[in-house]
Amino acid sequence: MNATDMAVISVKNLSKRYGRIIAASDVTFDIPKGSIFGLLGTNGAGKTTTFKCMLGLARADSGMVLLGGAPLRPKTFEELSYVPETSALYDWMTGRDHLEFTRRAFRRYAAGRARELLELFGLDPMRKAGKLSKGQQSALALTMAFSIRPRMLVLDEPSSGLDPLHQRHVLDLMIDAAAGGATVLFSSHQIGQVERAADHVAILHQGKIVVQGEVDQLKASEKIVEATFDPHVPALDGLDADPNVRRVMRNGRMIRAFVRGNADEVARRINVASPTSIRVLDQNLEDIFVAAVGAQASSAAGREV
Amino acid sequence: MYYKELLRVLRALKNMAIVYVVIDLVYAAFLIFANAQGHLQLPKPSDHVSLSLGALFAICAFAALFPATAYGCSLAAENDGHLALAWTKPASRVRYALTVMSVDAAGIVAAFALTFVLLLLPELGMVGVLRYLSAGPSVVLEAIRHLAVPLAWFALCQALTASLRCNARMVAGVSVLPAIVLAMLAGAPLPGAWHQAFHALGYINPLAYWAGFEVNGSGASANDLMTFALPVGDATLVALVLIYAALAIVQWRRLEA
Repeated sequence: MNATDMAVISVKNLSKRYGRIIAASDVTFDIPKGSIFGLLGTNGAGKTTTFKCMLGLARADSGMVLLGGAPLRPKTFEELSYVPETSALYDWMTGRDHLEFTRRAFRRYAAGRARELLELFGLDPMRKAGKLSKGQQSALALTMAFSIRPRMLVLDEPSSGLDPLHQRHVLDLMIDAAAGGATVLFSSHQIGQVERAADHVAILHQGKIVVQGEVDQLKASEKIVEATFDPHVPALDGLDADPNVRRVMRNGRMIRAFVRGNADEVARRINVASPTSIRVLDQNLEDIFVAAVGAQASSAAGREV
Repeated sequence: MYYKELLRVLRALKNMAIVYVVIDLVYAAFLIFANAQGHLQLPKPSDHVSLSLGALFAICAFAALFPATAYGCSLAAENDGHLALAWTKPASRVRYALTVMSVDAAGIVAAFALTFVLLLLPELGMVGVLRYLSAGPSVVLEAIRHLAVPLAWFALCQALTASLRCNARMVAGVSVLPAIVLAMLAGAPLPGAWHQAFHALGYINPLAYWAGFEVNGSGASANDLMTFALPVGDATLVALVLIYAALAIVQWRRLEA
């Protein structure tokens, strides 16, 4: 049995262009049952387009999507909840109206669960959606999404506009849903959130997946040797050419070398140049993200992360 | 899927009912005032007043055109940022659109009935002419025939706006004027080719099928005000409803969110 066979959500070679702009190019990933899959990317990387194409909200130019092992059909949404990046709520309807709308459309709707979630997010169900803040609208959309006890969740920037406490609630809800067997796909700008909740991750850049895998494996795949020099970083001949060194970043008095395999050997070589400090670090998701999208994206990511 | 649209339609009907009740109250106050001043002259049996039910239905159909125009933008309203919610329900887009349009159509029927019950009956009752009301051989068929006009207009509005994201209400509202002008031109005594062209256009213009009435000097009578030389083709109107509705759905289901 291969990964696709085991996957609850499977996307193969998905591509979508808007005129001359390539929004998604050959996007491929599989999400096993009960996993939380984080999709990371800068603005315009293609996350929302990927979601829309997956759910039939936009027509993909090519590619295949299997949800619950079958192509998308109306029945798929009995078990799949989608929370879009921007509110799709009806301004003139109250929270209660929206939940009633959900109840009548989904057989799996659980009124008790909806009440719990309203309480969790501190939402007044009698307020019209148009009168809610952006964060409260996100919370209402999440309440609707989780109240049908979905087996698949596709959440586009689910914690957008929420305060830190409610952001934490969203992560807990996703983790809780996955623990109950649901498969979660979500996108976020906030790498810390993805790192905390996701067990699988893919990084989209300019419509293409540049890195993907299990978060723990990705983090373990490289070490970072970080050294500080005074007054400036010396030449360190041959470091860039070292086959174990995937990338070297120099920033003022600091140098960071991303190392596959034995980092101690690289640290020893740098140490010869007498740095003021040197240490070997495990890389985190932010390092992986910055390394994957390159120096051009790193400044943008730094602002958003 | 119908719930959201039902709320929208009920809200509009409630507003319509309030307006009618206010009109009734104003009219009653006016009659009381006129009576007190001795200006009120109610018809006597010797006046031989005849009031056709069909004429009242024509007024109801006219009144129903207003909600029909508003409801005619319901699919376009979904396009304005709500498709992600509408299209992730466990129903096909065709079914969703049909559900929404069916609820709207029921709303138009309700608006038609509301006009009859809350506006015409009280007004006519207050001036004591209800007893002169005469019905044709088939009241139901006549009502359906008149109802078909706002329903076909509703379907045309849907067809015109289904692919729009915004400005749908403006497009539907503005369309009324050319539709009325074309309907009048369809029956106007124009020279040969022009007459044929506008006459042909009249067949696809739901408003060209609307039959009004006029009140002549001797009282109310059920004369056709806008005949347009068109037969009141029931089958044609039904076909227009179906064709325009199908056009709307075909456009709407092909959109992207």
